[in-house]
Amino acid sequence: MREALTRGWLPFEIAFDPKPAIITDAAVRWIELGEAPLAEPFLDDTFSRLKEGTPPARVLETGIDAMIRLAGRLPRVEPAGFVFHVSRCGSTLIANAIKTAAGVTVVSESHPLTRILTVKADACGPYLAARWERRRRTLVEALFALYANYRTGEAERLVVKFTSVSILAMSLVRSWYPDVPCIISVRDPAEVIVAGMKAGVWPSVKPHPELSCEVFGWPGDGMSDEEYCGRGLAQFLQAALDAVDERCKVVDYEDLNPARMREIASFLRIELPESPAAIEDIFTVYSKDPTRSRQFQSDRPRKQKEITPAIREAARRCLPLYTELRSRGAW
Amino acid sequence: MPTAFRDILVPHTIDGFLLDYFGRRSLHLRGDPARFAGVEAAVLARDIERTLEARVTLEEAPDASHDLLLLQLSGSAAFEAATLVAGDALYLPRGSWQAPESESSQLAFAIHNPTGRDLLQWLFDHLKRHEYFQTDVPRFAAHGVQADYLTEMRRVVVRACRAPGMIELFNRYRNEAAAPRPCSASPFSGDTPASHLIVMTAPRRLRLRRAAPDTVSIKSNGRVLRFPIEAAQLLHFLDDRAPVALSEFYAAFEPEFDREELNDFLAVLSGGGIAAVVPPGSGY
Repeated sequence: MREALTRGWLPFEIAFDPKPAIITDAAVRWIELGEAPLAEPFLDDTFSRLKEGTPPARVLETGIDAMIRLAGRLPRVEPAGFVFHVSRCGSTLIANAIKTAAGVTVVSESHPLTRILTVKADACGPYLAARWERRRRTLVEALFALYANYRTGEAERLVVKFTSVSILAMSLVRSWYPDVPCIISVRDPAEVIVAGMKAGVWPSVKPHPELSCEVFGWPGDGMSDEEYCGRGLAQFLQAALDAVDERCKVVDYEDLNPARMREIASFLRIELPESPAAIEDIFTVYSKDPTRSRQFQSDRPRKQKEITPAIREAARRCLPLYTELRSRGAW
Repeated sequence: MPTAFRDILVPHTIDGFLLDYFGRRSLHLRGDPARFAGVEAAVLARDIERTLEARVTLEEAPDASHDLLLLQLSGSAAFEAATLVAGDALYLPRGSWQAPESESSQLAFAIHNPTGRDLLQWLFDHLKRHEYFQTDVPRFAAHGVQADYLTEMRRVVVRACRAPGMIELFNRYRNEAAAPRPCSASPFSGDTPASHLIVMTAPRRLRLRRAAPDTVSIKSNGRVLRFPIEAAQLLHFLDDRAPVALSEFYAAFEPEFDREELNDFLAVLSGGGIAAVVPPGSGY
């Protein structure tokens, strides 16, 4: 059998047009990883390390149809598991723990995947809308095949941790991969809102009504930051509720510990290292630190103190959804 | 006893097959029934009962070509000279022409896989347009000025060679400069019967680009055609579905466009060598 042409390479950027259903052509930028694992907490951290290395990793650009064609020569990949989350709730810690397993590739927050899942084509006419639905499934399958095969040319088990906003497309992903077990990571809504506002993630979307419409379906202008975050989080939780089924488990931040991590791995049929230290170590460092040098410190007490009345009010609309989701996906 | 290709190479409707495997459209037969030639000529030899030979000549390493794919569903892959047996499929890339007129059962064709010389020639033509090369060579200037001139020239050339997308740009250029299929169809007019077929004469799949916020463009045969963004769905439809009956095209889009707009659009494509409208059964 001939070696896969893409072995050792992954797309690190896909320059989609703002309306990819209309302008389907897009430049795909590839980077050479060789057999290097995606060890950093986020995919982009790994790419940055390689780009900034000495010498920098080789890069190449192709068209998106070439990417589809090359990926089409690889066997279709059924991921071992998906991790959806509402942001700031321990999902990176989960991904880091799964990365300790041998023969497993964990893709953590692929931005091309997010873009593919976020863009809708309802306004482009029925023909292009239907065409985009087919195409984005093809693109997702292509990326999964590339991610799973890049290291050895043989498919490794693939776990995909999506970006938080991709939870809005969870039903769609579940319809394509109904048998793939899913983890839904959640946290006390008030704490999520505090963390989200501090990180500036959602408030950074809010000033751009067009982007907000694309992501959430509403512009958000005129709302306070707290209300905006609360409405967004409620939508995330509702999307998860719409998609949750018997193949899904909900994990709350407050329940994350080494034992739960092993249960998560077992649910995904992934074997973690037997040594307790391997998983316990994951809990000692800040999960988002690519250098793994920053010690983990629980921020729950501080976050609880930072909950203002406006945040509590915004979180109130999320509470019933959060509670129901937890009960529907209970362990 | 040898069998002539023209007797056994029956055109198949293999849209699904080609789309699944290559993202390409299906075989189109055209012209004299004794000849076949295709914009995307493809031969599906699934029904062949006897062994045939296909001699494939390549100028460069065949593996470098994404377009040549000999699907040997049985037997081992061989490209320089291959034998087609029942169950095999031979895919000829878009833009390849084959016209077997003899009674021979041997199929021979050549594919020009571009070499480094072609790439260099393209790069040279590309760089010639660069602003830097429009300036006078400082033949009589001081040594320092001449040295700076050469340094900058080297920088421009190296920057072009270092661009990760250079091969992609080269591929795109070749696709966009490829000549259209010869087509004897008359220019499209609005009184063409709706039973006629729209066929693509562009030698490559259409690549829509954004020309401005509300405009898309396509480039074929070295020419650029611009359309309002609403026409993108028409272009994608034809690129995906052609050959397709005019009536089907009208039915798909008449709620959104009136007949006159659709006919104007087809007239532009027809005039630009992108598509043609032909009578059914005319062999295209």
